Amino acid sequence: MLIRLKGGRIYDPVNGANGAVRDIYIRDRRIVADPGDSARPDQDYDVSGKVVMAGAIDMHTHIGGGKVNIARAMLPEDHRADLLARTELTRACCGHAAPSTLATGYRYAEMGYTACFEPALLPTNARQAHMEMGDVPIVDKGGYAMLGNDDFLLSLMREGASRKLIADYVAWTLDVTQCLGIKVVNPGGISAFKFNARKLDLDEQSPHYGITPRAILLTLAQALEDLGVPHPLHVHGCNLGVPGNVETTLETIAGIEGLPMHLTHIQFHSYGTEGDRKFSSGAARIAEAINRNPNISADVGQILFGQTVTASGDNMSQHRNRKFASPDKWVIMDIECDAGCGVVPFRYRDQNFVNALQWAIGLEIFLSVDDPWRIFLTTDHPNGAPFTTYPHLIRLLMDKTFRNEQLARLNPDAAAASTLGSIAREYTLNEMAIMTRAGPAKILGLADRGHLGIGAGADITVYTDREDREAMFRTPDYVFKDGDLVAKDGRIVKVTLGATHVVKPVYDRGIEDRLRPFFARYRSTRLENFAIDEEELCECGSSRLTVHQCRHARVA
Amino acid sequence: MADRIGAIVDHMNSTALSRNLLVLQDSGWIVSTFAEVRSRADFVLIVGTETNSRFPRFAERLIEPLDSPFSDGPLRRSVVYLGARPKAPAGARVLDCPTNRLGEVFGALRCLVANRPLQAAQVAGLDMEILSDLAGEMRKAKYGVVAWAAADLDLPHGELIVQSICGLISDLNETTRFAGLPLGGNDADVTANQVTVWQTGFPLRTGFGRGVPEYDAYHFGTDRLLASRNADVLLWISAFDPLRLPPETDVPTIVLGSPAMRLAKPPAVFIPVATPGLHHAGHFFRSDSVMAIRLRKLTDSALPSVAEALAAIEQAL
Repeated sequence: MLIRLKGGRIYDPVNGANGAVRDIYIRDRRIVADPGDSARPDQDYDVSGKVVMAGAIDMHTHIGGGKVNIARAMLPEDHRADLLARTELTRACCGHAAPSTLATGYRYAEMGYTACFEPALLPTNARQAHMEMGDVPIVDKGGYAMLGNDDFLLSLMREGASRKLIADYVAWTLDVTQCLGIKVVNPGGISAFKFNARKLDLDEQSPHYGITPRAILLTLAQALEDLGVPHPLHVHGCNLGVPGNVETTLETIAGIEGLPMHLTHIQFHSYGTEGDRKFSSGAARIAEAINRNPNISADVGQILFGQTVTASGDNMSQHRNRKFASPDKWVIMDIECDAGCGVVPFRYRDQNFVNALQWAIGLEIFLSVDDPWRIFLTTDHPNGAPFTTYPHLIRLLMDKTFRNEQLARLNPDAAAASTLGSIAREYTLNEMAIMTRAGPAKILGLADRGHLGIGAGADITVYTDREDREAMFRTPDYVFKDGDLVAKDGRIVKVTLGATHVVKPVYDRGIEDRLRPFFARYRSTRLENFAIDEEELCECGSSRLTVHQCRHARVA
Repeated sequence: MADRIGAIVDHMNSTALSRNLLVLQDSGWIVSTFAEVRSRADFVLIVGTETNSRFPRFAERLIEPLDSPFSDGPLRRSVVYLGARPKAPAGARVLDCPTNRLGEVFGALRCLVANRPLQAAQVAGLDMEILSDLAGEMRKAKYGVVAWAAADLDLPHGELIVQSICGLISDLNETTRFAGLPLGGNDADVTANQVTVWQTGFPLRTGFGRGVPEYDAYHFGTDRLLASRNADVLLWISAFDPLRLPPETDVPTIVLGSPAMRLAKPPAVFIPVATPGLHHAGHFFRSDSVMAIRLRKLTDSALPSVAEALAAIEQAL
């Protein structure tokens, strides 16, 4: 079947289109060249004057896995205000802060998103995360496996294992958990919390292992570089949320010694200690460091006001943050000599000095990083705000007048402590296409996503160009997923299954000879029962496994 | 199918499971998982009477092994059983106390851990000195664990005992590390709850009668719905255990069960089904809710899986 989108204004930064008017043709799930006058489209959409972009990609969103499900189970009162009724096509479920898997898929697709990446998949919990992602309909999925607090890696590092052995372990983890990248959360800190440490600084030796977070970051970043994994080490750094952590973050950037590194929800790691309340913005220094270091990328983790829930692997920080729980309930878990998690409901208030300044700090970072290819639009869903707030966030970035109106409503001391009011920048449509499509695809190594060139997967979103960018981005006219029209005017018209994106670097299977006795002695499952294969993924609701190329052949 | 026909989804073990869920929803908790407990715990308090009979391999898998990646020699682990004549191995430390007074014991322990004096010689039949020593031991533990099976706390508002346990654990974490270990998972109760939570947002005891999911841990309990005749059909699924029979009721009953099931009264409809992990692949969540076990097909069966049977019924609706 041939589909034509006729006369749209194309925003496709990968292929240099910045509002150019041209037709797009779709056949067999992919974008194809103009087949010429003899070919008559089976379906023709007149999109003249409309804005056409690739489907959006959320590169950091907590959509599935143990801690997300704890958040859901904890918050029936939050769900009850946002129930989705059953329709002919979609099932009854609920949304808002911790939406059900079904609502997650429906609502991302309705907003023009076609791929979502779960950033904190514990290897021991990978099976659950994939089962949940399999029940997130329509959009493609992928995960980053968490390492850096697991007792196996820390033991290898303590014994001074070779670069090759560690790279084998990292590659094995990617393989058996079916993941696209590696994330480290509070490096060494989750493990240290199990030994009753309450903080672990970048250069502090961890209990029992005597290893520093700096060494863990370098070891994992080097392993990914050796393997040629496209996505840089995805880092949730030390001291999340602690005033003064801007120094830690700057040291972390310097400490990675030029290796590729992605700093996630960097807003939560950009706090100074100036002012009467000993809490200030470190955004300018962070943005300057990102601008100066081309090996560094970041997503923001913007906060927006209202009720949400924070779900993190960082149980050390979450245990510290439990005092701010609203409503007052929280969960902390230590998990399987592997990792941990913490779930703390939060209500960000615009009249609260700290919350208001957090809001401003996030926006300052967005607007002060020069290169839109290295900064990504996230709220760290649901930690800063639910993903359904993205259209509002986009308007804040694209509309200075609107932004300053919002700023004027905040806690006045916070507004006065921020430089936000003096920043004139407004993101353009082209920059927005980079930040939410082309950039994420590039940094994840998804060659056939995030653009509209010949051969790309036909994930396409069509918007009516409106001055109110929030309204524009909330309700696209058409959303195509792999060539299927899945949403029209912000309503689901077809429910499909998405693919699972993975990477498969080469490794020596001999690593399993080391892992087998460790599992037998200290873990509670056998190694043989650990790996997830493609058949199992598809049984759980994935349409297929999409394996992406490594950047280069393995070294070392 | 429940969504399609407006049914309520519940599990045969929900009454026990709810005791934990209500605490999760009201105050939360600090919990651990099997491998952490086995490798780290230097103190374990086992609450209840039937832990070792409900979970025959619990002690063998988690309590007895003492090799740990974190200690040079064998781990030194103190184990204490607390409950109404708990079934404990010979020679084990046992604190005997009626189930309905466990809440008092944990209340007293919270006071003692916080160094607040109590004007009592005994609590729930236990001497203050014993409780004071226990509190001291808990405070000195490096990684302590309290394990309980919610099924054992079978009394009205048993969730309040769970909450008092979790409150004590939370207090202990001000100075040391302590965690709970809720035990369950039988008959795929944890599995059913996990899937219901991620698909609808709500735990078991969620109904679809009004087109949207509605969760009510009290009114949507199966026993209550049957006794009040607010349900007009019972669909009972038991693919694992042929001994788990549907409750006696006048409400017309459809059973999807193992062919080995022996029912005293024939149900309106009986559909024999295959067993996951024997006749077909599937998944099963362990007690600690973190590890999903892959169930594999071991042998052929002519019988449909529960999923196939339900899909065929839905098709015919």
